[in-house]
Amino acid sequence: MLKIKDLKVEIDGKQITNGLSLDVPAGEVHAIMGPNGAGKSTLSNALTGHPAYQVTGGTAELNGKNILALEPEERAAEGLFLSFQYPLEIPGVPTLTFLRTALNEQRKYRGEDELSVPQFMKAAKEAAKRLKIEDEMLKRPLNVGFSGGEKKRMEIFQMAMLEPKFMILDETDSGLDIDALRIVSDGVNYMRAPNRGMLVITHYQRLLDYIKPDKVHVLVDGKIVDTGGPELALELEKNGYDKYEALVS
Amino acid sequence: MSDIAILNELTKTEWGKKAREYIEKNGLPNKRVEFFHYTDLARALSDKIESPSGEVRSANLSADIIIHATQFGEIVSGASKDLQIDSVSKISGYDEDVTTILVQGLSKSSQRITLKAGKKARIAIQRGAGSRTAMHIIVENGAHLEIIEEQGADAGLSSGLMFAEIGENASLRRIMYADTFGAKDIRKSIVNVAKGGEFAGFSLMRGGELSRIETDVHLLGEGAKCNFNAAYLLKNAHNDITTTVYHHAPNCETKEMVRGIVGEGGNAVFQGKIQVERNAQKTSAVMEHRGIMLEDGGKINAKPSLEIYADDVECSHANTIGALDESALFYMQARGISQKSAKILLIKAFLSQVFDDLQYDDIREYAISRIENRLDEIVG
Repeated sequence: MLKIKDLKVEIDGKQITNGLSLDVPAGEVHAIMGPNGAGKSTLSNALTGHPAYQVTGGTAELNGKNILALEPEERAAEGLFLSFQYPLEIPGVPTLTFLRTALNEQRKYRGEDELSVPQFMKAAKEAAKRLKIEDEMLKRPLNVGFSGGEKKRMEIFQMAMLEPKFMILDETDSGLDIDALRIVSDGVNYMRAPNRGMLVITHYQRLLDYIKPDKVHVLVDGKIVDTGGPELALELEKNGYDKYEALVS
Repeated sequence: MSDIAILNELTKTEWGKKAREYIEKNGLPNKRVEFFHYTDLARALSDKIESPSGEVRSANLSADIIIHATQFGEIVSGASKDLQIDSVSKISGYDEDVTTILVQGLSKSSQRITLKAGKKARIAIQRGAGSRTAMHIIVENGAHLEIIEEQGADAGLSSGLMFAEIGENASLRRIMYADTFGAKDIRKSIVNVAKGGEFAGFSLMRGGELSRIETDVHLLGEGAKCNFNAAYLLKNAHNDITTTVYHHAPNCETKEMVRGIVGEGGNAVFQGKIQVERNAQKTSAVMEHRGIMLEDGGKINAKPSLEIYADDVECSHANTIGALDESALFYMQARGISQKSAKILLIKAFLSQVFDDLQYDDIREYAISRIENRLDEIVG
């Protein structure tokens, strides 16, 4: 599904990702854990196509297609979805207008018919109910005046509506209290499917109690330095990243 | 001086002669005159004035009276017993300045429109290429008038003088859409507002070869209000919004919001001044201008100013010029929205706020649909 080979990424001329390789097959959830500055957000931004992140080497393929050559909106239409660590507020743009535009532009790219307003509203209402998003939130401009937790729920709501093939969750647990964490995790788990893959980027093991990964990778200094099962997350929680950092420095 | 092209455009009337004498004596203001620093009238009006061409693309909103302003004069259709329309030779009762002298000198005749006390009406004015109007609008006490002005021209010079007197507890709401791309347009409005009255202006400007829109508002009676809103969308066009609001009486309120976007070859000017006289205590005045530069090769000159002689007032102004929010654009693209659509959504959101105070749905929708039409063209 998602195959990353020897990826190198720079920001402002500084190399952050140093030859990262990763393979997430369809149906699996992989977690990436790592200390601050390891390059976790760089990975998610580079994969999504943020213009400030310069890919200087390597490849990234989604279902066999080289996504690095595509515009961010094309990557989205190919099925890539990033749940932002810091979702943006877009004043003046109503949430549902934004989402319907996004959905229909993706469908157009894929040669599918546009979704009518009633079809769209039906799907939106179902997803909103599942994620305990009140109508009031949907009527507001996107994320404007939302709390940190509400913004994260809105990310998962967008994910549910856009039905991506591959999802990257970038520190989705940050800023969430325990109830919000449960709602968000339920929303994410609902999306798990044999034809979907997922990359969960997190600092803490806590999120992985709710979203159970198939594999855990340790990212240090822009590279995957270790890979294991869910037990690796528990070990990291206990012992930290010291042994890996000593290794690379 | 006789080689100044504009002189040939002045009418043979007494006020046309007055304008001629004024210009021959003083010349037209050029950029050395501070008030015209960003819109050099002398330069713009000395060259040949092309013959008028272009049409109004009207949305044909319903109205009690429709005035078609053409290069040959005004045609009035519709009737209302509450509205009285008289053709008068010229209008007076306001303080003259170079712009009023010039604009009056270009008009052949004037219309006086009176809305009777306590009544409500809507007037549509469709201004064609080369129209040169002068209108005296009287809104009697407790009456509410709405004027929708649509303008279309792609060559030639059009002009308009509007002197409005708003009575006690009366209101005038003026919605203006000007598409003068390629043409020249000079307008002057003087609005006097009596006690408890309100002037609300909403303008959407596409600019032109020269477009100068001057508005002077005098809040004369206690509790009078001015709500001035304008948006501009410029590419290869010039547009100048110059507004002065005078607070002459206590407890008056001004709210100004001007926003715009400028693409390549766009030249936007905003000069906003609020002057609070000594006895205008408890004045509340807010002025905001925000401009967005879409690409290289555009210009925005903004000069907000406050002149305050009273000591118990609340006045503020804000002025920003920037680019579209790159992170917002990326966020939208990451959801599958193309860069062009993302830009259009962001700009539409940004400009639409100028029309938030428009209460009647059909007019708000009208303004927003005009923004949409423009954006598709301006955003690359």
